[in-house]
Amino acid sequence: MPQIVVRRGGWRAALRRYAHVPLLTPAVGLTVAVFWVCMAVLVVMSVYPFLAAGTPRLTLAAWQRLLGDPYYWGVIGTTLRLAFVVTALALVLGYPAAYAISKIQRPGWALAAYVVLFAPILVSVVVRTYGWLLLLSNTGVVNYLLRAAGLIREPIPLIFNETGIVIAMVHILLPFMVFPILSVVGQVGGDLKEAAMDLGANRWVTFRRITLPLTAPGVISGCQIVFTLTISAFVTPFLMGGGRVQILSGLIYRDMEAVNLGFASVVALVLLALAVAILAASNVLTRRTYRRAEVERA
Amino acid sequence: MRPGSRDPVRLALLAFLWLVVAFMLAPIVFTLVFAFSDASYLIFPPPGYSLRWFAKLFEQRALFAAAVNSLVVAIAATLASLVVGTAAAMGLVRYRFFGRELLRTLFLAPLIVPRIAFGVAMLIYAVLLRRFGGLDSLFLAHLMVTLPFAISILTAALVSADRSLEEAAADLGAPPLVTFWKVTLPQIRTGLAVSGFFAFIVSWDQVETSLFLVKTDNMTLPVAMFYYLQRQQDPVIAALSALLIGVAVVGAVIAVLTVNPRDLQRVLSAGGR
Repeated sequence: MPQIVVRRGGWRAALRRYAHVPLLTPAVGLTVAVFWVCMAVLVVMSVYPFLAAGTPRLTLAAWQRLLGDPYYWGVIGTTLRLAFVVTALALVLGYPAAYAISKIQRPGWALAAYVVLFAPILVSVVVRTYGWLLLLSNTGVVNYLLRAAGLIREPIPLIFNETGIVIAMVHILLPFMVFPILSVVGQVGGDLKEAAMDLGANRWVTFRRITLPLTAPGVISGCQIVFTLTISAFVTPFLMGGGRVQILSGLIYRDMEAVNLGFASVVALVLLALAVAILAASNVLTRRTYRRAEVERA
Repeated sequence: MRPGSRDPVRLALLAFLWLVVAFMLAPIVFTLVFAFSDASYLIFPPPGYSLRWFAKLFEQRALFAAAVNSLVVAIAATLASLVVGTAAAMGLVRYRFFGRELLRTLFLAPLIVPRIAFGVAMLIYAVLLRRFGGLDSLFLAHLMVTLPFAISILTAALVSADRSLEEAAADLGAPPLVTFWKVTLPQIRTGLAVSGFFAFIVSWDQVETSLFLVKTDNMTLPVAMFYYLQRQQDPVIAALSALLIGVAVVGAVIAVLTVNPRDLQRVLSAGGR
């Protein structure tokens, strides 16, 4: 039998070597027992929709219902279209805003800009959506101002349609576009730009060949976050859409209200699959931009 | 050739930034205006101004109870994610062992899952375990959302903490717990503050994860507001929003004064909520 030699203080060394086990156990236990079991429950529920009722029977009916009906493909299409538009607009607003913040010379003003862009995150999403209902409804602020300016006679419908959803979503998600870009835009050295200018590149060329490629990782991660958060958002699209625009999260809500747990699970899994696909795509894109940067440097 | 302050491109950029700032502030400012409106419906400009919606707000027992629930769950989720998250981050950063990367993925995966999808799963799980209703299932659901943030922020904080100080303390004979308490913890103070702050905000403002888990007894404030808005849109919600905005402004000031902008950037770049 092999001898087990316990040196003096050996238990201490062992304790130190395996100290990560007690440190990690609570987090692993909780994450597995709650989150990962939940994910498994979702998959099981999508094929055993009557599990909760106590009559488990394997059926793909819920999957067939979603994938076989053009209406649901239309809902997936609307979800993705809205996410594309919101992401594009957030980029168009967010990139120049981040760039401008990095150009502010007085630190006090830069901080103020930071706060204004970041503070809305502290205000509940429900409150901000309510604010947009106040601004955009037929008797709201925007329509009043347009009418007062004599630009319109009849109010323009800005809520209970995709326009309202897009405006409010861009507002809510803009910080998530600005901050990843801001974190890379500051790293673009002035010397690189000056070198390009000295070599005769004009401003636009300098921007396109130096700044844009160097900030691409921030742009990609900002787009990934905004896109993913848009397809998963519920409160804002639901309230701004007023039940007239159906997207995947709205389907989930509808089926949960109807206690249609199997179908809700299927829609939830489709949403999850989309989010994972977007993350994978953005990872591939990021790796490719880094590789291109390395090739150019070589 | 350095672009000066009168440079037209720079001025255009700054003007654009002002527009974006106005866009970001508009719904918040007008919510404040509507909170003092005299009308019981949504109209701009308000026909008059009054405080009656604040008076009516304080009669809403249900909203008050929901606020208390939200506060309890948010505090519990924040404390739990700080304690569990610090331990897990220590384990991930200070030890080398097989499967470390796998564990990291296991911890951070909840960040990718759409909140509403997780909400559906939590409800089914709670029903299967016959634990539907109550604050415990809400607490666990929120913890799953806040813990990944805490772990990722605290991991970054620990990586940048100076390890030689810990080794010096250990060499001088300090027991591991004392070393942790006196040497490690002060170095990750900012990380703790940032992750605690965000855990609280994320839990406090959680709708999608809570939506299916709440009944009348464990209603949370954002879900209660969501249901209220579906029924009616009188300025009671604007008055409540005004109060919440006031609290948020105080929170923002505290955050700006205590948190390093770099940390803030890292959190928001990591996917924010």
